[in-house]
Amino acid sequence: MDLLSRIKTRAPEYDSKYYDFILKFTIEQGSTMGRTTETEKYELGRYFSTRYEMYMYAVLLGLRKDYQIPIERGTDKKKFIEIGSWKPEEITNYIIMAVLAKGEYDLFAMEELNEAELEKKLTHIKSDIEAYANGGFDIIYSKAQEDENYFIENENSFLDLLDN
Amino acid sequence: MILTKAQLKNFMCYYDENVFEFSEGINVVIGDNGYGKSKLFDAIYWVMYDRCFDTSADEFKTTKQLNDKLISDRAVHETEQGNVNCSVSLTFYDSRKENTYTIERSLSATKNEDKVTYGNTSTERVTERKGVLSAQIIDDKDKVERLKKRILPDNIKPYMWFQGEQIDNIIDFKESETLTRAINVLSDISRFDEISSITDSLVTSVENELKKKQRSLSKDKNKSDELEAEIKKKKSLLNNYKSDLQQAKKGKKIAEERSEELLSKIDIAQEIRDLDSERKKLEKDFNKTVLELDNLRESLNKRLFTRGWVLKGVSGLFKGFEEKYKKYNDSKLELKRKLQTEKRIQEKLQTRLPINVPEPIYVQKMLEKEQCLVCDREAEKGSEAYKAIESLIDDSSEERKRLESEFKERFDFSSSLESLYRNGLRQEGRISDIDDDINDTLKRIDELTQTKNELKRDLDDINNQVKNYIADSSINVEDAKKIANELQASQSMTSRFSTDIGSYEGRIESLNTEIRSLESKYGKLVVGDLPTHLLKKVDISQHLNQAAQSTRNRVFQELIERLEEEANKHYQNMTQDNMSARGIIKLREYDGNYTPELIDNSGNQLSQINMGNILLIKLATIMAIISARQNTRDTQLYTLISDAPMSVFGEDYTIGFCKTVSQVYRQSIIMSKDFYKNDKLRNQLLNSEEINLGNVYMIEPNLPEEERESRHKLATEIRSLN
Repeated sequence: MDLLSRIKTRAPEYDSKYYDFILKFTIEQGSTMGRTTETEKYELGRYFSTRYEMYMYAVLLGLRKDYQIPIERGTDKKKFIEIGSWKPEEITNYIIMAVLAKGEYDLFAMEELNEAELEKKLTHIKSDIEAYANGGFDIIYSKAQEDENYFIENENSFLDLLDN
Repeated sequence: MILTKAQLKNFMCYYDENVFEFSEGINVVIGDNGYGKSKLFDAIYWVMYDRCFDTSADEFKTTKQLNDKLISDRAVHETEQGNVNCSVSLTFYDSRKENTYTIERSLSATKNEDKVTYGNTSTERVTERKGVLSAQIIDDKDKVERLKKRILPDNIKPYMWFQGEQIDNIIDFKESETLTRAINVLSDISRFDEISSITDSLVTSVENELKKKQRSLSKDKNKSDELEAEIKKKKSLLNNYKSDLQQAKKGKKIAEERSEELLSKIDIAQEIRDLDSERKKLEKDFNKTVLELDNLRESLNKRLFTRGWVLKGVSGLFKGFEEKYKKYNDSKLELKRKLQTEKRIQEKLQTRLPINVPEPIYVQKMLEKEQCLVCDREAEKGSEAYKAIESLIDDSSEERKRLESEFKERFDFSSSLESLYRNGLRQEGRISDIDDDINDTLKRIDELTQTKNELKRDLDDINNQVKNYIADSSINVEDAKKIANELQASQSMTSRFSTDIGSYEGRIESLNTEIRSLESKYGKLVVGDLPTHLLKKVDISQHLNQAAQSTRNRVFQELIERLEEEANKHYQNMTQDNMSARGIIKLREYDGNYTPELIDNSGNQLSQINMGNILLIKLATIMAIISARQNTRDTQLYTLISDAPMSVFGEDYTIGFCKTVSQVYRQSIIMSKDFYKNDKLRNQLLNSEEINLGNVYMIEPNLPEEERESRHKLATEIRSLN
């Protein structure tokens, strides 16, 4: 299995304190609400069709701001689906590329690792993704705390957050 | 007598105790639709006559028929157990005798847990108070009835106490009976009708007497009998045709009026149809715009991923990867290069064998044979010669082995990294366009929003135009579509009736001719002379009959003119503040019916009268019926009580109407919604020096509109404004 495929078998996790917060902005995947129409979703004030979309958004926000908050050991976490199921694939690949670029990864040296060492490296990559996502969620959460109406009154709120 | 007070307790929407005090002049009770104005009228009527007018059924209904509707729902709801009473009392003051009369009517219901039983009969209690003495109950039913007739005589009741919905029944210019009834109130014309009827009977009787005499003198009695029977039959047929002719003329009149009415509306109808068509188109465009706008706004967040907007501003990340990837590729190439260099060294070493030295496979054979096939010498295993041959095959140097081993044992991430690189490169191309893409989308949203607002404005404009046309012309959109067809049908009916009229007139003429011919034959059968006195009797009775009829018609016409004159006084008074041409009322007679027209000073008819004008004319006529009664002081003795629909004739005439009413009647009580929202009009009413103003009240329900469905909490608040 190539490197990309192996990275994509990982399922990142997030701090469960963000669970309800994330749900506010997404339709639960697989639930009855997942079958609502775009209009109903829009009217419900939901911005993301799935939780992994919001996760991807959070990772990119963290990457953009270079803001990582590693999830502390012992934190209660929730899992997303594996990276390989994230859509669209080009954005997913871009995220992986960005994490590899930003992290202390010597791509050439990585090829010399043995299986166990590579597995460790892949876990490290996953942790990096989680830390960026955590940072991104922190930014979003802080915005909501600062202005409780920001996401309610402004339908372009997540777009505008990319500008800040 | 004037009505000084009305007290309502738990009557319809008037929960608990409610009091209205009235004085001379025009008393006005102001409230919006559904606030209780008509219920106040119902209360007053109910006390006097134990019934109320049901507008939906267009008839009066008794207490028994109305019982549960009369008692306040809230009063019933708040009573847990026991009796619930509703009552209305009216206090009248007779200034001539200085007596006060109170008529109270009450009705009760019994509540047992959730079951409510309403009474079917109301109770009446009438008291009389003379001067300052205590009130005494009037038990005598006849005395009570006389009192009520003194309060309001039956013959003028319809013209003094009426609701707006009843006006068309009171005065319908198309129905001669309503005008005849009105004329009879104005002046008793029934005596002339009686005389006319008597002379008709006299003529019939005398003619029968003549016939009898003619028969007795007939030379052929059988023939006379035959002729008489024939004449009778034809006269009966003649009467039928005359009746049919009357109906046809009436029908034609109605159809012609309808055609005229429709003709006047056809242009407006066309206008409304065109506007409606334009409106439909605008609505379609509006809906299309709204749909596109909503779809765009809804998909805005979706575009974070479908159009890659989520990568906005992240291009620096690719650069970082690009550098790493280059470094990786360089390292990979370096390794490959090293490997290839070693390989080439080995290959070079191998070139010390002469050109025709066998390939390694032959070298292998030499080793197997332990013989050098180049120089054909023995090369025993382990010998120098053998080792020399062996060294030719063993072309892997230590370095190369190490490199190869290194190369073979490495993971190869090149395809993944290349894939990531290519993807990053592609996204870079998109990222530079993201801002423009977002801006274009937001710009499109703004454009659509602007278009939507413009279309909405245009739609509102057109809706208002249509609404105004409909309000002015009373034609709604559906009517407008039908008007052309209706006009055609009306004109067709007019034509049909004209044909029928022609046919009936022809038949009537033929029958008359036949009857004359038969009568002539009948006369010729008479032998000898008819008694002179009998002939004279016939002549005189016929003349008397003509005189009676023409007198009756003349008196009726004079009364119509009197009514017209009086109605005009009121009409001019009501409309004098309006700058546009008002005209003079003229009641034109067509085959026994009267049509109101508005004419100018030269007698020319003004353009088509609208609903507002007709209503004003009717109200002026109703007032004239009472005020024109000679030798009476009805307007001073009796109170006008009405919820005239003043909004139909417009703001300009409302004050004029109030002014006229206050001047004509000593006391009037008018219920109106027109002053409710219109502050300017209300101030005019309260401050006009020309209006003899009584008490003015504002009534409002105690609940906001959305809660009024539940009548369990409904009460009415009464506020005096002056």
